[in-house]
Amino acid sequence: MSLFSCKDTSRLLSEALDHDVPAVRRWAARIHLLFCTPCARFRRHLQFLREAARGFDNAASPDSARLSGEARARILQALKQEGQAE
Amino acid sequence: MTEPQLTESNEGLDPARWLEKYGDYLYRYALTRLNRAQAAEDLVQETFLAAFQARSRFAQASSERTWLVGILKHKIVDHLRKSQRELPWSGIGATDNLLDELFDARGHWKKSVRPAPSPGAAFERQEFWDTMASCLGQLPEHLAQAFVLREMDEQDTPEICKVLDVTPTNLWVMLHRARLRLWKCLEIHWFGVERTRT
Repeated sequence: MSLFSCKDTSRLLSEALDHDVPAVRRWAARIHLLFCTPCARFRRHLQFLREAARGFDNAASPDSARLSGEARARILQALKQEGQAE
Repeated sequence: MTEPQLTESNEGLDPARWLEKYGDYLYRYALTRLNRAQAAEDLVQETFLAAFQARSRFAQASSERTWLVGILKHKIVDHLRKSQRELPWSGIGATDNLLDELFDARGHWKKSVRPAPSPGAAFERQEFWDTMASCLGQLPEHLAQAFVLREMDEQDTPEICKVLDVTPTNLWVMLHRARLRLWKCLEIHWFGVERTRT
């Protein structure tokens, strides 16, 4: 088993969020993490990113993006036509 | 936030009121996932039209917003699937310059970019979400699509591979590159700034 660098470990930590990584690689990263504070911190950052992504839709500011007046008018027009067609 | 309980009949589902009430939310939702204003507007319009046509099937048990978002979600996935075929796709590239910025020749974190302890309580700050939005907007398009489908929409990787038309190995690489970029962007524009403030 070769020793994992920070580059390898960060990639494995990321991949572990998406699929089952082989045990050999998992253990190599685990050993690396025992001695590497930056990588242990990176793991927490990945978790943080995941939580931030999941909370994003409901937390994003209403002012960050709004439908333009033009788009709004266009959509309303399309809906009215649809209503009349029925 | 709680939705007001609906008591009106289906005839009471008024498109103008929908647009007023949910238009901006749906637009933001689509814009986050497509990063293109025109496409986001078009999909919001298609969503309202589809909802209007299907209004008799709207189950009063679920909230209107959840129902509308469900329709929009399908439209976004369809759009992404089609756009992968239409847009010239250059592949993900064998090397990533960011890796050389972050790691030295032996694969160790460079001193200047080492991950710092992450401060808590960012989620209660509106500025954090603005920073997150801006960092997402800066991602290369295909990386952003992969990240959003995986981390916001919590899709399984085989499903995302189908939508984006990539192999699992490529998707894992894309997700890793997206996460590294987002982390670095937040490190510079959020964590770094926060540290100097405190």
